[in-house]
Amino acid sequence: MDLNLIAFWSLSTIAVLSALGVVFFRNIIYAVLSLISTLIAISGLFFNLGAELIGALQILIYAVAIVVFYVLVISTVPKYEGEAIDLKYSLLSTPFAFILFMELAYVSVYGLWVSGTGVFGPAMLNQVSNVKAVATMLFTKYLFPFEVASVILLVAMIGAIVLGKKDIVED
Amino acid sequence: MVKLKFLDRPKLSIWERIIFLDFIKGLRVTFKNLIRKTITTKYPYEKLTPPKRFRGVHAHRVKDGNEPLSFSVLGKFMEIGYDESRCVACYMCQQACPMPTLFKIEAVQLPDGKKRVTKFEMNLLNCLYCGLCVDACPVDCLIMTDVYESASYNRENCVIKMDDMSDRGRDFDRRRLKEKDRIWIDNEERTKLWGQIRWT
Amino acid sequence: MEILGTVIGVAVKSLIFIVGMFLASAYLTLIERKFAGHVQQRPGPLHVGFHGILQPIADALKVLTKEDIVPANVDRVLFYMASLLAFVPVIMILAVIPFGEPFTVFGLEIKPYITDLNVGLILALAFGSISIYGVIFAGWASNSKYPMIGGLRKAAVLIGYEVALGFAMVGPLMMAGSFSLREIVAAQDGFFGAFIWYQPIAFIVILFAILAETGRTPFDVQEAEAELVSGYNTEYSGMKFGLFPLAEWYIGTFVLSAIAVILFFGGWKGPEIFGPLSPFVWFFLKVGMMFMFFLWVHWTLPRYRVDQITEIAWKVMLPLSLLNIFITAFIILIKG
Repeated sequence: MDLNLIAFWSLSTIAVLSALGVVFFRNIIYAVLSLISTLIAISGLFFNLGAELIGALQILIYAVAIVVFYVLVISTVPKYEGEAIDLKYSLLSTPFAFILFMELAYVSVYGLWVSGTGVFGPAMLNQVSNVKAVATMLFTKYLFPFEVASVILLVAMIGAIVLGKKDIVED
Repeated sequence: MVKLKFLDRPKLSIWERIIFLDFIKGLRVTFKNLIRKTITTKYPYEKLTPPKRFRGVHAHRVKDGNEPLSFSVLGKFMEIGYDESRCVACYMCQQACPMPTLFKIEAVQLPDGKKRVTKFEMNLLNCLYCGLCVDACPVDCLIMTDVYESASYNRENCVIKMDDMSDRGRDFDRRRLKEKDRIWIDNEERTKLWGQIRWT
Repeated sequence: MEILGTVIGVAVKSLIFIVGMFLASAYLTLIERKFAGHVQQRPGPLHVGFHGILQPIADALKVLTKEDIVPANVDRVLFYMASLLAFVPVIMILAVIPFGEPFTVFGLEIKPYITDLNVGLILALAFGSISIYGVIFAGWASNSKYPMIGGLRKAAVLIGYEVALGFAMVGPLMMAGSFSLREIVAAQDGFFGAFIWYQPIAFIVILFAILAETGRTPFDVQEAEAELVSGYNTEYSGMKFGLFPLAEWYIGTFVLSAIAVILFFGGWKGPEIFGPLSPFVWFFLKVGMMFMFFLWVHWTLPRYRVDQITEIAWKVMLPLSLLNIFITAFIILIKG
């Protein structure tokens, strides 16, 4: 039995189970906890696939930097136990879920054909490290989208500062 | 609307801002302390003798010939043998005590008309060691000693009886009656412990 | 069979690392107590063994046999999980820290590290920041005011300093040209090759960040004992309580000191004056010095207010680390 295979099946089981937990837990803090668990399991899958950089960034950015703000907000509200299934929201979210699913399916199927081609094939990746490959692609081919994304983030940051900066009224 | 009032922080100097001068000063102080000798005593193995005026566990002075003049008056009405507690059961200590139920003093009248103290108990659990009872005692009987280990395993043992108090008083007088009444044991000892104190 | 061998090898090695770290952290508590004592002119533990040398064992027995109280209204699952959530990620950082180059004993090659990923540093950062959940969930699960405030404070502090820490690490990374901790050490040659001479700003930022991340004094708002009884671990008792300081103050400080030593002081490099054990001796000497420095700061300084801490993080440390990246990039560009 292949060790990678064991790792893949156990990690993906954890990921799927905790993703179900995110949806079905009534206690909101458990939902967040299962979200963290999902994200970490997915990062484990990335490690399993040999994409250490993405795996590490997955933990650092998704599992910590983003979710910690969810946790901050959620843990300050009083204990709230909502309904696990709300018909209105279920119906409302169905088309979005469908679109999202189609998109992911398209990307996955598309990835089947193009992965392993291009400059950084498996042979090349053995020579240069993962980090170098990502950096090279990011700063050559995808430089423009990268810069646009950074500008968008900058705008968002400035907007947040402007919104958050309230004048304190002094009588 | 809550009124907010802002106080200006004290301004930091430029060096404190840039190289954290105050941090470095603090670190220097702790480093000096680190290489100094420790000043603690290893308590269960070494015990400090408190100064004579220390307010420790109470004791009774006994009738040993050193009584003040007032005792020669009051003592006439008392049945007190030599080397017994010189308490005259005047209840002055109880009156002076801020805690009304701390003292339990009982005395009986003997057939020959004299008074004898039968019970003198202090519940030290209630005591705050203020020393007012000592000041109130007219015959210099109730004193406070330098014994400070008053802990015990149950509450009953925290109530001190007259016999123990006489014993403690005898012991205290034997050890420290002759000692000069000073805050510190002696200058040498004090200097060793705390360094030279300049009295102004 | 080969797979089984690999698994057993890794498991044994991990076990050695974890048990070693446990024992080491027990004695780090003794070091801390002795140090704190002498800073305050008292001797610290003295009577259990020679100068308290057996005190950690006595303490461990005491903590393990203590009554384990779980308050009535806590969220039990999270309450139990939180102490592990705080403890496990910190000890997982050990997986990526190399303690030396591979060496050969009796014809058997021994690697004194568990993995040598080429993203070791990011992974260390990631594991270090996951431990934040232990603190927050401990605060939330306790269902009590002070732990809640402590947990939220810790979260606020950590968010700020994780960013500063991440950016400050970029300076040495750019000079070494790799994320792998072994290659970073390999890039530092000789006494003046250590990155501390080239990256003083990054070093200062990382010092502050490590102090904040491990909750040592100028930044120990999460358990500010003057304000919040004992912060996020107020409701804990027994070994569950013991795991929090063990994880934060000892193992956390130790592994982060190790990372700082690898980044700035050339890791295990040093003159070969201790014979074949030289790299280990140098590494642990440097890490020990670093650890002692944190203790020194801890037992000297008073506490910052929580708004001042976040203010320092976002307004001073983050711009400083960005400036450091800029300067480093500029110099590398010029020197080629």
